[in-house]
Amino acid sequence: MSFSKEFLNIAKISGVDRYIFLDDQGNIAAHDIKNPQKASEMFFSCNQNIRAISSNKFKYAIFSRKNKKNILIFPVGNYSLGVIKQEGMDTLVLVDSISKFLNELMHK
Amino acid sequence: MIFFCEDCGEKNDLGKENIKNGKAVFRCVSCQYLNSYMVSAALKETDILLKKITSCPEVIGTFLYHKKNRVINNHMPKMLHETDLEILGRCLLNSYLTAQSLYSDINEEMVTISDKHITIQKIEPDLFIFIVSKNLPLSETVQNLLISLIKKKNSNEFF
Repeated sequence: MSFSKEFLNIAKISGVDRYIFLDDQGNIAAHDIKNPQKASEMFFSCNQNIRAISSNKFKYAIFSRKNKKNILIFPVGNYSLGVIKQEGMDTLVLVDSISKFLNELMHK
Repeated sequence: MIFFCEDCGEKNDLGKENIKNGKAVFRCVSCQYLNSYMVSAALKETDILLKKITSCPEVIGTFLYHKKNRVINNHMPKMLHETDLEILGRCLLNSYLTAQSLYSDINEEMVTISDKHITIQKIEPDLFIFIVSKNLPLSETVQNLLISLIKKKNSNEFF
């Protein structure tokens, strides 16, 4: 899977505050996140740990935070996507929107 | 139930026959030390709360995972071996702690693998509960039981 610029439309999804795309080596493919280097290490490590359980059945991970800006991780082919949710957005609604967005791009 | 040796700290899996008059009496499998100590009532209460959570219709199973002593209270379906749970616990706890190292206010992890959802919450500094469920979010009943479990921890020691 190659990285398409269409992935950058993730930023337009309602409820997405920040995002980061990483390749299978943990290199940053695109982002609008603060402190990208530290964030990339964290997202990459989390993604690797979860994929160690099941690489092809892992759908998403949610880390709930007290400030409600929850962290989401999605596998996207060889890539992974990390998202910071906007405070007022329902987490599972956002998960659904992002899953649909990624699914459409992957099947184009 | 799992008990730890007072001498070497090894995990010992005991049956009811090892608990007499509220005391756990056993020889450690590792160092052979003869342990004899009172069983905390909190341990029983924890087990009851875990069983209640596990009996909720959306819950497939639960277990407690200790950072050092690994799976210590298993209410998962029998088809899963303890080694499977060790891997599940270790990988998801690693991801939880890695995420928390950057975002310190993280208080829960939820992972969806296939059609199963795994919720992880810290119930004491080194102890985590894993709830495997058929759907998300967890029902109010499960969430209330989870709150009770955490509150129980705040008033008692498990070990």
